[in-house]
Amino acid sequence: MLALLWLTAPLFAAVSHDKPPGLVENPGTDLWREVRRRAPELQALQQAGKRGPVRTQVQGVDTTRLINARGEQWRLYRHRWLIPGSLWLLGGVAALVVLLYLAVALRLPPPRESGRRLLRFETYERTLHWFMAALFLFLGLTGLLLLWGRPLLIPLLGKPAFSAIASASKEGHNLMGPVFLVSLLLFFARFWRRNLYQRGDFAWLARLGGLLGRGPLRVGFFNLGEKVLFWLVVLVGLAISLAGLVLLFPNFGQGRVVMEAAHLVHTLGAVLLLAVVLGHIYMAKAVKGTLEGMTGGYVEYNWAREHHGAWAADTEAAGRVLSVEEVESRRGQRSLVKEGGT
Amino acid sequence: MARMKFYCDAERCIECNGCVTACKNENEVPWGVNRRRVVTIKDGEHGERSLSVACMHCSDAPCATVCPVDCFYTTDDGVVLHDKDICIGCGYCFYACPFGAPQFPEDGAFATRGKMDKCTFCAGGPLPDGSAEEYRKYGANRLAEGKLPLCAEMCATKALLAGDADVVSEIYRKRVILRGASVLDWGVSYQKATLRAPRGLSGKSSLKP
Repeated sequence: MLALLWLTAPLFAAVSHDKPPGLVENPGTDLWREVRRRAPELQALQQAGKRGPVRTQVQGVDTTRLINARGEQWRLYRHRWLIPGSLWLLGGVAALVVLLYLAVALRLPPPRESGRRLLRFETYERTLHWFMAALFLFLGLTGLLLLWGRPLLIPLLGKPAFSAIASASKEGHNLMGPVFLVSLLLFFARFWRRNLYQRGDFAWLARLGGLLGRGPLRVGFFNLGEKVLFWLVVLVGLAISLAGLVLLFPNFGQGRVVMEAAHLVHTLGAVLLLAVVLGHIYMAKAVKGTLEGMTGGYVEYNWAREHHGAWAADTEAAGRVLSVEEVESRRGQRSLVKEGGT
Repeated sequence: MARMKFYCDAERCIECNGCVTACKNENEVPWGVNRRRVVTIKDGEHGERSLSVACMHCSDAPCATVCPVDCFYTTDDGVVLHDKDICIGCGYCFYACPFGAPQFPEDGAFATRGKMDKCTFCAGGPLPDGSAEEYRKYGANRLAEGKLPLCAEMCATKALLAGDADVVSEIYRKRVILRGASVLDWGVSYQKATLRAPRGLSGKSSLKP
C-alpha cells in the first residue's frame, strides 16, 4: 500500500504552490519547508536509535512527527482520483446495467415450466447471503454518502441537515463494519468448497458462459463467473474489512501514514466491489429463474439443466428432484406459483 | 485586515512546555487532547532544537478541503476554525494536516473518535463571542477581548510569536539580522555569526567570545 502511495507521488507533483496575490507569507514558511526537507533524514535517525533523537512530552499518535508530507498525497488521491473516479465508474456501470437490462434482459423468456424443482440454497445459506448483502449495501451507501455528500448533497440539503445524515452514516458504518466481517467469514466457511476450480470452468470461460458456440457446457453448482465473484467478494471484502479496522481503531497507535494507506485500500476495494456487485445484481435479475434460488430456495428443473447441467444431473441421480406439490407441502400453505412468478 | 499567524523561533525555544500548559489551562481542553505540543529534535545532542507546534491556520488549509461535511471556515483574521455542530469526527482532517493539529476525544462508535478539537488561535468558534457554550465547545475567545493566544503570551523566551503576519515577520526579521544567520543554518547559526553582538546585548546573548 505504501509503495502505491510512493508510486503515485509524481502524479501529484505538479501542484502549484503560487501564493494568492495580496497574501502575506507566513514567516514560518521557510522554517517548515526546511523541516519538510529534513523529515526523511530525521525519520531515519529516529528509526536507527532506540529512544530516538526526536522527543516530545505530549503522549499520543505521531506526536514526535514534525511534519507529515504524505497527507497531501492522500488528499490529492481522494480529491483528484477517488471522488471523480468513483462517480464515473459506479455511475457508468449503473447506467450500463440499466441499459442492458432494458435493451436485452427484459425480453428474455423465463425457464420452461417442468413442474419439478431443485433445492439450490438452504434457509441458512439464503439468510447468510441476504444478511451479508444487506450489510454490504448499507455500508456501501453510507460510505458513498461520506465520499460524495459534500459535492452532491450539501448544495441540496445545506450543511446542518447533511451533517446529521453524515453523522448517522459514520456511526452506522463504524458499527456495522465489523459485523460485515463476521458475515463474510461465515459466508466463506459455507461456500468456499463449491467455489474451487472444477473441470470445465475454462471451457465455460472460453465460450463466455455460453454466449459463443453451441452445445452443452459442463457446469457444476457454480459457474466460473460466480466463482470469480465469490473470490472477489471474499478477498477484496477481507481487504476492505481489515483496512477498515485499521481506520476504525486508531487507539492501537498506528500512525497517519498507515491510516492513509488503509484508506486507499479501503476505498479502492469498496469502489471495485460495488461495481462488481452491480454486475451481480444485474445477472441475478437478467437471467430469468436465477433469483428464485436465493429468494425461495428452489429453482426450476429446466433452469438448472440449462445453466448448471452437471449439478442438475448429480441432483437427479441422487433422487433429490422434487415436484411442485412436494415443495409446497414442505413450505406449508404458501403458493409456489405466486412466489416464483415474479 | 490582519492575517493571524504563529511562528516558533527554534533558536529561542527551551522546551519548557509552558505554551502547552497555558493552552490546556486557558481552553479547558478535553482529556487526551493536546492542541499544542513541543517537539525536540536531536535531544541531548549537539544542535538540539525545539519547536512548539499547533494548528498553523493555513491560508489554503488542507483540512478544510477534505472535510466531508465542510465544517471549516476561515475568519476575517485568517484564523481557521471549525463548527463542532457540523463535524462528524471522521478523522480525515487528521490525515490531511501536515502538522498533526486535529485531535480527537474518545467518543462515538467504540469510543474511538469524537468531534475534532484543535487550536483556535484563542478565537473561540462560530457561537456568540464569549458565551458559555462557546467556551465549553471551543475554549477561550481571547481575540474577541483584544488579546493574543495565551501560549504565545506566556512564552518565557518569546520564542513563540503570535499575531498579524506582518508584525511577526518584522520581529523575526530583526532577530535574524541580529543573529547574523538565518535559521536555515540550524545547529551552526551562532558559530557562523558574522556580525558581532550589539553593544547593548553583550553579556546577555549566548555568543561565546
